[in-house]
Amino acid sequence: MIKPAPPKSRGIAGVLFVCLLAVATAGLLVDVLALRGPRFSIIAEPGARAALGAGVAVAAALTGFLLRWLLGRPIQDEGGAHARDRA
Amino acid sequence: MLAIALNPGFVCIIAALVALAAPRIVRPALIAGAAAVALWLMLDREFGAAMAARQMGLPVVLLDLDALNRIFGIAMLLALIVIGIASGARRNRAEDAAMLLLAGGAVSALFVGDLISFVAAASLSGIGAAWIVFASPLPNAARSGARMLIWFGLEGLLFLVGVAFQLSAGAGSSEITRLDVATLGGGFLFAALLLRAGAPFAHVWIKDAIAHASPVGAAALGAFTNMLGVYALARLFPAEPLLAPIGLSMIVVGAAFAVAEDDLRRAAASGLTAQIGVCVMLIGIGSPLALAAAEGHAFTLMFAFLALNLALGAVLGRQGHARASQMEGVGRAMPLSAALVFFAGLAAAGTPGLATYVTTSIALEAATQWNGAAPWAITAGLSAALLIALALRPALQTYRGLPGPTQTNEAPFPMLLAPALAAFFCVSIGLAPAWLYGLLPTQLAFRPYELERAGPQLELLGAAGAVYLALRAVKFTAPERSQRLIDVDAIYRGPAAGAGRWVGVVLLRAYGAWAAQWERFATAAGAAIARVMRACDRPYRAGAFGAAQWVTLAAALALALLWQRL
Repeated sequence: MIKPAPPKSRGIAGVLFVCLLAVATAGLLVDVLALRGPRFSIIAEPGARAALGAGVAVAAALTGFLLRWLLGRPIQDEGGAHARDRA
Repeated sequence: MLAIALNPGFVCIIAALVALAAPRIVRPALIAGAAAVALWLMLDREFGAAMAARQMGLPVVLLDLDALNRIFGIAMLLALIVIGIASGARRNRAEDAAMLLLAGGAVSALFVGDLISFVAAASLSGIGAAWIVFASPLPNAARSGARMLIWFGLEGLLFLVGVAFQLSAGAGSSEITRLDVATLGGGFLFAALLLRAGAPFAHVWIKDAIAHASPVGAAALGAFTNMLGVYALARLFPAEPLLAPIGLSMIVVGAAFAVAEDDLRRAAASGLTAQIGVCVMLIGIGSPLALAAAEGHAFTLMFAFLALNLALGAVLGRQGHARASQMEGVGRAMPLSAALVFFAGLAAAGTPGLATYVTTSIALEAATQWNGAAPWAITAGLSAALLIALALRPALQTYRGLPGPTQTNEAPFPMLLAPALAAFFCVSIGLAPAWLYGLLPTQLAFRPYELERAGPQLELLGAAGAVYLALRAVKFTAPERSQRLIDVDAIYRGPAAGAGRWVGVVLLRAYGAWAAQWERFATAAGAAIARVMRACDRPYRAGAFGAAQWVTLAAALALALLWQRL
């Protein structure tokens, strides 16, 4: 009987997600509660940075798909072993 | 105190010659020592011109120190010290000399006070940069070096034509001062500097070079090549309106490739292009605050990307690649290097507490002064894009565990110490930015850690990261796959190179046919001449020539008789 290999761990995705969510929440609170005068544009209004960040994340995901589909080429083996240290 | 009026860059150039003969154990100390001596020479001098002379009626100013070139000089020479430490990790005499030549040329170009000396020093640094790529042990490095030589050859041509047109306007016009893009000389110099800074369409050379350079060489290229372009644009074309849209397009192009590249060294080079785009945009805006932001941002970028390139180089040195798709388990095999990659990625993205944040916040303040909210949004969004590209993607891959035990195979000590030192600079500037502000040419009273500035930046980065991770969890991000992204260089490496080869083959065949025809004609002509010569050697042989001789003699006789009659 062949024993199945253990699944790959998800790494630090969960920890990172919690940390980033906490940072975003803290920043949003500061942004909303900070007392200051009129801002130069709607993009600088409270909460707009969070929307901008979310938009950039979606754009990054879409750009990843698009560029790899349009411009991606398979790599020929370039003999990466040459890059290893030759001390 | 004894004041030595020597351009600090010359120390590094002299050290480059010494490095060619120095043993391996001495070379790291030689690199760091040359940088330290150059730093001392620079900081020991008062502002102003020295070593000025006239050659053929033209001013030659080999040293002209001011606040603008001092801040770039400090950053480059500190970066050279870090690179000197890293160079102890491997044995490569040619690369050590090349790095010193690159740094020496770039630092010399900062401090000269006339255009001819600037072009000479910048071209020398270009040769040093190409030599670094040629000296790399990676496959296809020689081809990449040849492409780089072509880029720098084109840049040198533009420089020379620009300087020639400038000189045609009078000897005084060779002094380094603000130039006008609308003039012929100014236009050519502007084009050359855009090429050096990595403007769109010329952004490919830095990616190509960094991807093919050795781990230490890539860090040197990132620190000394396009930063010289940023300095020269700030010096020669401040407040040039064309620069603002060019800088914005650099940000967009660089960020797009950074988030999609599989090779993290190429992604880092694209991220550097995008951040340099911020500097270029700010130079184009041209207000005192924007210029101060551009200079400060270039300073902090040098350390952030130095740390990133060195940390990725450490991974490359042990794993043989720095591809996101193949980095699973690296976090366990190389825990310190993986941590440095993540930290340097955070630094490159402008995370509060680190150096690039304190200059990004000034840049955002300056961007509000330009037309509309789009430049501001693009500049702010770049931090989020680089967080995803240079910090989250590598971290998610490197800390993803492979089944089974992994043997620790950490990078050599100098390759850990050097990025750690660069990271230390990032932290120290990030936590105490006042000394950086004190170095800027413009007096600046700016508090980056006010809640209304730091809070929104955390909000931006946190939201971008959390949303990206959520998208990744539902598989709405492109899977990490071993791929190479083609860019505009695919035109000259693909169809243009193919067309060139085809034209070359056709021309060679045409030449071959012409040469064959010519050979046939020459053979026939030679044979005819030989026949004539042979005939001349036998004048009394019966035949056409004998008859001709008799006819000639008869004609001469008839002419003589006719003459006598007349």
